[in-house]
This record gives sequence, structure tokens and C-alpha cells, in this order.
Amino acid sequence: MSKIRRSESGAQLIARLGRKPDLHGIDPVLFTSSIPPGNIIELFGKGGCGKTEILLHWIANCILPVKWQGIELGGCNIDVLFIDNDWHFSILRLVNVIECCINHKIRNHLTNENSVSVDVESIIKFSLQHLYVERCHDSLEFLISLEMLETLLGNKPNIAVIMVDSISAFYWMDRNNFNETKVEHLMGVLQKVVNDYQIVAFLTNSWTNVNHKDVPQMEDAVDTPKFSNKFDPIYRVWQKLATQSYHMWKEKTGQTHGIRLYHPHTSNALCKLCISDSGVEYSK
Amino acid sequence: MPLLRVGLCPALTKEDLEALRKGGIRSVEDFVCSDPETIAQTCNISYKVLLSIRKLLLAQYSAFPINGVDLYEDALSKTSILPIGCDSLGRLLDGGLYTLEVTEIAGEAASGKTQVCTKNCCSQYGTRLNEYVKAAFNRIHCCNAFDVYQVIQTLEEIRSSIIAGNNSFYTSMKLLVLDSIAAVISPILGGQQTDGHLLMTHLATLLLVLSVEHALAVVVTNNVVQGDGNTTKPALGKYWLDKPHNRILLNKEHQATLVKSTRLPLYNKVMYTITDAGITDVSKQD
Repeated sequence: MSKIRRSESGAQLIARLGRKPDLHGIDPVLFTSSIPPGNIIELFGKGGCGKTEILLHWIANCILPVKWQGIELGGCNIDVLFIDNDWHFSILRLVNVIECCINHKIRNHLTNENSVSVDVESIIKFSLQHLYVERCHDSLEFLISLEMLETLLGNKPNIAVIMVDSISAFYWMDRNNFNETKVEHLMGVLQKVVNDYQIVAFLTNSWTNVNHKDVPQMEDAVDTPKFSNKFDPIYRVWQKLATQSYHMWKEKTGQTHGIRLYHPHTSNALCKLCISDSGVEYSK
Repeated sequence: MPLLRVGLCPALTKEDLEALRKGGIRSVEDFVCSDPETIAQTCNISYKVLLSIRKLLLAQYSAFPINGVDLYEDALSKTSILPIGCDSLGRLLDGGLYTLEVTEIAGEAASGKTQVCTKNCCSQYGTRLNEYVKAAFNRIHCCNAFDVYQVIQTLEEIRSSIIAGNNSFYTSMKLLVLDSIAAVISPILGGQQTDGHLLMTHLATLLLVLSVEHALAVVVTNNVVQGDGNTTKPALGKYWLDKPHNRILLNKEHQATLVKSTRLPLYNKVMYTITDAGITDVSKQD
């Protein structure tokens, strides 16, 4: 299709070439410099290690306005498309995270100046307008939704971030007629959209290539999980796509549960975080 | 996997369908994954027709993007908190069972899993159950399903009657209890069987879809298996672990622990006791 259709509509051209906003500020701790458009970032880790939580944290930072009535909110003011294959996305949880984030920023602001009354609800509503959620029942729906992305991005040129939670959701459903060409087709579509429209994609994957017995449970132990070379086919296929990948690991240290982000190739712990009622918090 | 057939979209005629079948394109998936240019050459169908079929199929089978504001307002109007019938367990879940969520109750035999479910169902009608026994029982439907296919069939029937809106019971239903999922899934897991995980994922997705799309509170019970050392962990393996929104682990000492939640702090523990009146708080007995 792409070979023949060299013409495109004006709206598509603008969506494709229009200036994409800066993603600086989506996560100043993990991504110290801005993420260049065209990147595909993968987060992998076992269920319950906080992948969806960290995505909620990034969504909040993306959709919040930069400034509201003179208060710096630190957002990026860009649109996000969230593809929920796991059916775990909770809008109420996201609203809670956004609310805590806004209140925190307002408190910081108030220490400098006199009190101002801010309507938090309207900031939340304003921010939520920048979020689109798609829920997929099976891999066919996921595939076709990715095929439709081009149309969607043409209509909504502000979308600069796509999140897929998770790409491993339909693995077992497809396992019996697992067909590498289909997954490669899926990847091709995603790659093309990300490149053509210069957006950033975040993927989560609950498959890990980590041998769980090798990973220390206690903080005191040597804290480098060993990455085995045993890949599942679907994992290997998806791994080709990601330009950066991060591994999340949940560890138990006494009563608290910390999560560490690792770089899978170097196995160096990047940062430590914990999840509270107000969302993701990084600890030094 | 939907097959291509006449009537799927207006542009798809019988002749084109035959030509596509000869070219090895049978399902919607085959059609979408193939390049229209190649199909046009191998099957001898006009490129323009293929593009219009493709466009219609894409529109028909893609997920619909919902704006965050609509989703928020929808969630606010549809979320209700169902009392669990036992204050301490209710505190664990911040008030009770939320609609739009799947809650798993895992525990050993005789730890009170079914008691929790029974109490859940009863407590939706107030405490003076005896007076309302008849009225209340009309509001509980019980389906027996003894293998995974029957469970899936029952759930699919419930889902289609909710969508059709022709059954007043199902349209007003708020709570769905599956006791227990391990009983139907365990026999098909393990060994050389490859269907087990497929059926489990299918069942789990169905439960999630029912809860999220149709605003139900879903409760499933599960067994436990021996974990590392003396600990217990929920049965059904690691692929089941991340499916439910919340998981409460019960033990024989009648202690309940919240071990997974998408919205609450974890590892809170509460005690409960089982009496004639079902699951109750410990303090009430003292």
C-alpha cells in the first residue's frame, strides 16, 4: 500500500511534519535528556512490579498543562494514546495520581507566594481531554487498531506518545497458531507509524528473559539480576523493535517493597522507586 | 478469528470472495496482513475495490478511542462500592468490592473463600435477611458449570444478554461470583496440554471485559499452592497472577492479606472469623 500511495491529504502532511512537542519533563529522573521522537521504549518485568503504575506517572506528566494560572505544573501538554490490552487501566487511579501531582505543585507554589484558589477539578478535566484510551479484546483487534493509527494520528495531530499495555497480553491466545509473520507485520505497522509521524512509543511486556532464581531477593545481596539467553519466540521478535529497554524488578527489603529499574544489557541498577497512593516516587 | 464472508461489508461480492479464497486469503486477518497490491495481482480483483473493503474492515474491527474525560465521567457514574458484609475485609479493599474490578480471593481449603462469597451476595440486601429471604433469593441467580467450556459459555451468554438488554436480571446485575476458577482451570493445566493457558487467558479476559465494559464487580476464588519455604501462593501459575485487579490471600489462621491491588497499598492484614452468620469481624465476637 505504501509503495503506491505517494499522495497524502493535507491534514496527514501536517500531522506528519508538524512540530512535535518536546518530551522533556516526562520523567526527569529516568530520561535525563529529552526522548528523541521515533524511539520505542520497552519496559519489562513480572506482573505486579509496577509497569502500569509507571505508565500512569508518565501519562500524568504528558497530559498536564505546562502552566495553569501562573503555576508551573511541569507537564508537557501533549496528547497520549493508551492501548489497554490487559484491561487494567483505571481512570480513577489516574485521576488520583494527577490530583496528587497538581496538589504537590500548588503547595510548592504557595510557599513562594500568597494563597491562590485553584480549581483542581478543571485542571484534571482539561488534562484528561488529552488522553485517548483504546481497549482491545484480541490480537486481531489490536492489529487492526494499529493499522488504523495512521487515520487517528491524521485526525488528532497532537498525539505524540503511544503506550501499549501490554504487548504480551495475547500471547497464549495466539500461541497455538503462532505465526511469526503476523507478529512481524504488527511490529512493522507500529515501527512505520512511529517513524513516519515522529512519535514515541512505550511498550510493556510481562515476559522476562530473567532467570528468576538468579535474582537476589534482598537488597544486601549482589543486586544484578542475571539475564539468561533463553528467549521465548515472541519475546525475541519484539525485542528487535525496542530502541531502549528497561527491566523492572520488585524486591522485598524488610517491610517496604522497592522497585528497581535495570538496563538489561549492562545489568546496572538505574534507579529505585516505590509506589504510594500518590503514584510513583523515586528514591535516591 | 472471523472469516471473510458475503455481507461482511457491501463491497465484498461472492465473486471476489471466491477469488480471494483461491489466493489463500480466508480470514479478516489474512486480508489485513496482506498488501492490497499483491492481492490485486494474485487474485485479479480491482485495487480500488480492495482498498474500499480494507477501509471498511479496518473501521469495523478496530478498537474505538475513548477520550479521557468521557471515560472519567463514565467511571464516576458507573462505579459503585458493594459492601462485603465484614468490616475488616471491607477496610482491606477501601470500603468493599468496586464495580469495574475483578477481585480474587485465594486461600487454602476451609479458609473461608466460599463464606466470603456467600456473605458478599447476602450483604447486598441489608442485614435483616430473614425477612427478605424470598425477595432476596429472587435476586440471586446460580449457574452450575463444571468445566471450563461451560463456564465460558455461561459467561458469554450473560454478556450477550447484557448487551441485548432483554433480561431484566442481567441488565441490573452488579455482582458476579465465580467459585472457584481453580476447579475448572487446574485440570487443564500442566503436562503436555497446550490449551490450558489459552483457555485460562480467554476466561480471564472475559471476566475483565465483563467487569470493565459492563460495570460489574467480579469475584473469583482460587486455591493456593506451596511456594518457597513455608509460604503459600495462589494456584494457576504466573500467567494468571497479573490478571485480577485485586487479590486477597486467606489462611487457616483466618487472616486476610491484600497481596495485589491496582489502587491500594499492599500487605495490609486483617483478622476475621467464621460463625453461623458467615464471615464476621473478630472484635464483634469478643
